[in-house]
Amino acid sequence: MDLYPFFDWLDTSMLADISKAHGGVFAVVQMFHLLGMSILGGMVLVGDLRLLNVVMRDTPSEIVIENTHKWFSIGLATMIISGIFLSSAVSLKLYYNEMFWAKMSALAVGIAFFYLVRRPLLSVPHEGIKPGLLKLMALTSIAIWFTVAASGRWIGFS
Amino acid sequence: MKSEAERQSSSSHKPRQVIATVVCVIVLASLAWFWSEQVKEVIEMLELAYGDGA
Repeated sequence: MDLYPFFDWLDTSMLADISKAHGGVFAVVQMFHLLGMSILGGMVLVGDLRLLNVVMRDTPSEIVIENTHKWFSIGLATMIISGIFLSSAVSLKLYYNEMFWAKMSALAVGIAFFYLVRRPLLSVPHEGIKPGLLKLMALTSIAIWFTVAASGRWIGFS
Repeated sequence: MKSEAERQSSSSHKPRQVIATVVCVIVLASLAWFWSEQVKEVIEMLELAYGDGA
């Protein structure tokens, strides 16, 4: 599926006009992008490090995981909405950037992993889940979101 | 001793746990491959820029 038409449309859209002409607006939206990333990264680390028995050992992992889910979704939504605006400023450049597609692939895997694998499995009492699997899921989750963040940062250098 | 309900719940989650394990292994292997390729590329670039140190 060729997504070029979408990126071409984005490059000439009203979003692109605003992001290219108003540096202040771009900076504020970028701040929200970083805020969303901090919330998401924080929730991933708190939840996964609890599953690895590194932090908050005296709080049941079910409670920690339950509390991180809502804020994970808020962080993700903030990142995606602000990310579309930010990408409109350089959409055609991003289309030809290999690292951008690596980030988008990792993001898609991360979203699918979170909503289709991690959340449904962790919604039951964790006693019924093998401890090894809990740790494996935590490591996988950290690795995925590290890849999203690192490849996102790499876009700027490639 | 586990109650009947607990045992049923545990057994109904077994396939889900197997699927989760397989997904985790596939994802981790893919990420390991991805990052090893990136590291290789960076090493090649450094060798081009600074020579192989010989």
